[in-house]
Amino acid sequence: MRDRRRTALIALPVLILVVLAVFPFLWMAVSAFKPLSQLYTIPPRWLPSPPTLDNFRNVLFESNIPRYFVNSLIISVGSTFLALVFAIFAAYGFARFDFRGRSAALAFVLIGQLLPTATVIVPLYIVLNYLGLINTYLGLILVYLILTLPLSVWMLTGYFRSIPKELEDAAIIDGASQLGVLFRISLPLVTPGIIAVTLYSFVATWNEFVFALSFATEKEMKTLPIGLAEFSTEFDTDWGAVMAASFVMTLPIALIFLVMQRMFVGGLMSGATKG
Amino acid sequence: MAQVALNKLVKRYGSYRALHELDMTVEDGEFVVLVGPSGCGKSTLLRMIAGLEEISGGTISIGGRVVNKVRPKERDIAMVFQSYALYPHMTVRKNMSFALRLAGKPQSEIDTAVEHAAAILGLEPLLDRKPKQLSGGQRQRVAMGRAIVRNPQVFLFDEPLSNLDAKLRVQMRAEIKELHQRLGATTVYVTHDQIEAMTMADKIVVMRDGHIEQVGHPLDLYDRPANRFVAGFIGSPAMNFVAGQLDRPEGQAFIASDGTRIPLPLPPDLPKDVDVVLAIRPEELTIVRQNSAMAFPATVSVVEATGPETVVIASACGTRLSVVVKERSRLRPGEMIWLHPQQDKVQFFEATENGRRLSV
Repeated sequence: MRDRRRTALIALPVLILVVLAVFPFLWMAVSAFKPLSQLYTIPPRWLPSPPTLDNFRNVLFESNIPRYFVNSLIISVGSTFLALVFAIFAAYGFARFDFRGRSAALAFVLIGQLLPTATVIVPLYIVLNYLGLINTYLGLILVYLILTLPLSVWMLTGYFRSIPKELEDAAIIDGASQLGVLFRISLPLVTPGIIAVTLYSFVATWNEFVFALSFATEKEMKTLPIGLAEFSTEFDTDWGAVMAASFVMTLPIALIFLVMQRMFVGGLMSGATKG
Repeated sequence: MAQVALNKLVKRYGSYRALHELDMTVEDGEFVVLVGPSGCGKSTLLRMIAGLEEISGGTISIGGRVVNKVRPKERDIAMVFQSYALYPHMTVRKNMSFALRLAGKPQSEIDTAVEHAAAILGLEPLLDRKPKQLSGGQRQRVAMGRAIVRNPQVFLFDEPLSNLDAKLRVQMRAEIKELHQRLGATTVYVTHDQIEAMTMADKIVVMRDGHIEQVGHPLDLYDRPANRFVAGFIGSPAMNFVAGQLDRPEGQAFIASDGTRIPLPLPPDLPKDVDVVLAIRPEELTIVRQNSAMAFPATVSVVEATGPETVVIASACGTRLSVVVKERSRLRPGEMIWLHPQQDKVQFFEATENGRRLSV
């Protein structure tokens, strides 16, 4: 009896949270298949009847969304990859080597993360403009590094620290170089951390709005979040298209999460307890 | 095979001196155990021989070559760690062959070496398992296998048995010893467990606070410890110490600090008028039920029967003395007994904390 009551006590709040989290997503998915007329009915219609693919046709063949999708993909993959490369070396250094100013450097890495985004837009614009990187993939990729690298370094530092020093000592005695130790021993052991950082960085850059809005102003360079906003004009919003585009935008993230979910959760746990 | 020699070896961390000008030689093929309490510098010393710690002063030579600036992989050593340090993402086979693969040895040679080492250690059925699928003793064996595969000049062991349970530890102790007899490689073995040191070593090096206290054959250290520290560290139960003075005028007794008189013929060459400490091993005391000319009184505190022998802890001379007897004892706590020391075994030390042994 007590067990059942306890289960109910746990299940109820969980249920509320799940509904709160999932309902907007479901509403988006359902709405994407509704014709315009059914989007505004009161009381709302739960299911589209009949469902229509007009919104998707509109989004995929008559808008710039496919181009934006490709842009987003290139920029997110590029910046995630770069963040990973830099974060691995930086985090390994912070975790393993004793050097002057290590803790100060590690603190500064985080302070960069604390600056409000809006305050760095103008300076970044000037720098990017000077370098001729406005409206380029490389420009946004580099800017996104500012966004994702600090936390990536911190997360990976925790993971690297959790690897026993003796493992690396053993590898050094076995004849591995310092880089050999990193790539043959330590890196395979922080796979959960790599996955966590990849997910975090990809999602953060995939959803980023303000930098993309400021530094990619030409149609050929815009990313998905900006494209989504373009469906809203001064006088009208094509909600059906917004829902369909959102659906398209959500798919890659949902897919990645589904594939990596188990490893991601495991990764977060070990980072939390040993970091 | 090679000799390992330390010459005025110093290790400093900033202004702190971890090792003070150590001189020591491990002969070719010898099994040397470094033993001492935690923090005595024994592991640091081992890591310096391995090349994992920098040398602040003096030299280390292996096989006649000074290796101060030589990288670990070029020192021709292998090391077994306390935590085994097996690579968790590799199978046993990959763990054991890691060094050979790094060295770019041909596959056939690697396979032969791994199979050979696996056969010695009985690891053949486990070669394709991952470390997490192995028991503690098996992991320990894999760690040793990884060392054997490389056929090094010197084996280094850093407290390899301290993560094992008591029974397995005794078994692995014998296996390591057997392995050494079979391979004949120079071995330096670090432990804080004096029983491991006594049972395995050709030569024991007792360390404390970065100094070498005494070097010698296990039984020499047991019978003739250089100072109170070594006397107390080697042997279990530990050696008994009684503070007091020599009864000089008569020369026939030791007077403990609480006034108990222990009748003894005193060696003539002991220094006069100094505080001394009398020391005697637990098995060199005999329990007698009645007072005799050569005994002193004690009260039984605790009786510990281990099976083959009984340890009696008794209050006497203002301290606690342990006595090991072979026969089963019916003694009860609180009982009055007399202790009879074997007179030729009694030793004397200076009364300072780390007092030297006074010539006997």
